[in-house]
Amino acid sequence: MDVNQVYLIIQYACAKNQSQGYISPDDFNNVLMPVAQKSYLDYLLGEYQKYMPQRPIAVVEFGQNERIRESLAPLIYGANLFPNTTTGIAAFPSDYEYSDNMWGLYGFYNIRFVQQDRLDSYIHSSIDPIAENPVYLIQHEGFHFFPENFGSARLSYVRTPPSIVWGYVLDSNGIPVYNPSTSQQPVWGDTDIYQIIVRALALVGVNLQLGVVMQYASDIKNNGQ
Amino acid sequence: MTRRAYIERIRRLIYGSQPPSEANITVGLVNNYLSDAIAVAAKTNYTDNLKLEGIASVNNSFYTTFKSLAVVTDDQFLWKITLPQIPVGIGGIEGISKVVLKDSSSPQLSYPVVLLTENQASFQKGMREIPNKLIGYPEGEFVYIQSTLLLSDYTAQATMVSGGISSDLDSTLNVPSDYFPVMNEYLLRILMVQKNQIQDVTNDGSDIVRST
Repeated sequence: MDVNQVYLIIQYACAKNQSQGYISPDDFNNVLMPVAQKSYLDYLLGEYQKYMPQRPIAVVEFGQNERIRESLAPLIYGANLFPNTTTGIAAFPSDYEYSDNMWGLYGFYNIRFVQQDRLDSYIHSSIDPIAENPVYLIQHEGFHFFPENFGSARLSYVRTPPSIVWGYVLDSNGIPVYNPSTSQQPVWGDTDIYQIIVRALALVGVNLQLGVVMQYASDIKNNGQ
Repeated sequence: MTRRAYIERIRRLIYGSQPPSEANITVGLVNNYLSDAIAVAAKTNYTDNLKLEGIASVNNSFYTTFKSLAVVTDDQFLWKITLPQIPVGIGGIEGISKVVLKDSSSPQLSYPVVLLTENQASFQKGMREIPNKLIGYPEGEFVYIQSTLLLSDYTAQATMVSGGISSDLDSTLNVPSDYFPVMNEYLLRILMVQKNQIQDVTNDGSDIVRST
C-alpha cells in the first residue's frame, strides 16, 4: 500500500466531503504519521504500560513469534560496532531504537545485555569469566562493553521507522495533488499499515472530537480488524 | 558424546527449546555442575556393582588418564603431583586408580605407584621399603610420592575417575551411556531450582523480591 492510499483512507474515514473533517497534507506528514508509527512501534516492541504486577510481559512483545518479527522485519537492521578499546563504548547507530541481539563479530557467540546492578556479578564471575563471556550495558553514550578492550561486535537492532511523506504539488486552484516523486512510501506491510492508519485515526478523532472515528479506531486496535 | 553435546541436551531440556541469548543457565554453569554429576554417576555405579556382584568397583568407562603432570619436590624425599581435579570420594582411594611416572627421554613408564590411604600411609612410615616400588598417597588435589630418587626428572600420568577434560568442551564425556540418566536427574533437579527461583529484578537497595 502506498502513501497515497493511506492518505485517502484517512480522508475517507474523516468524511471530508461531508465537511466534518479535513486532514491537510502537512498534518498528515508532520503529526499523524510520526505519532501513529511510533505508537505502533511501541505496541510491537512491547508496551510496558500493559505490564501486570508480578508479570512484566505485554500482550504483544518483540520476538514473541514469527508474526511479530515479520511485522518489524522492515525495521530490523544490522551494524558492526567497534567500541573504543579504552572506554569500551560504542555509540548507538544514528537510527537506533531498540536492541535485538548482540554477537561477536566473528563466530556469532553471544554478548549478553546486563543491567547496571548486576555488572559486578558478571565481571567477577569465576564460572563464566568476563573475558570469554563479554557483556554490555546501555547508557547515554551508547553500548558499554565489558571487558572494555573488547574488540568488535555485530548488532541486530530495530531502527526508527523512516518518515511517511505524502508529497504534493498545488494545482491551479491551490488544491494539493499527490506527487509520487516527492513522496516517501511506508516500509510496512499492508496489514501493518492498517494498524498505523487506525492509530492515526484515533488522533484525528481527538483533534476533531469525532466520537465515531475514535470508536472505530479503538475497536480495531483492541479487537483486531 | 562430547561435553558440548551433553551440555546442549541439558540446556534444551531446561529451556524447552534452544536456549535464548538471555539464558542464565549458561554452558559454563552446566559444565561446572557436570563434575558433580559425574561423581554422582560414578558413586551410583560403585554401589550398583557392590549390590550386583558383591565387589565394590567403578566401571572402566568412568576413568581418564591425565598425562604430562609435573612432579615437583615438596619435602625431603617427598614428591608432589598436582592432579587436574580432586578425585571423587568413592571408597578409600577408589577415585584414583593408577599413577605412573614417565621418562620422556626413553620413553618408559614406571610400575604403578602403590597408592595408600592416609591411615595406611601413616602405618607404612618406618616400614621397610618395597623393592622396585614407589609408595604414594593422594591428598586433596595432590598425590605425594615418597622416594629417595630424583623424581622431578620425570612426568606423571594419573588415571582417575573423571568425566574427561572439563576445560575442553569438545572432549569426549567419559561416562557410559547407561549412567546418563543418573546425571540427567541430578543436573535437572539442581538447575531447575535456579530456573524456578523468583528473582529480585528491582534495583532498589533492598534484597526483597518484588517481581519476577
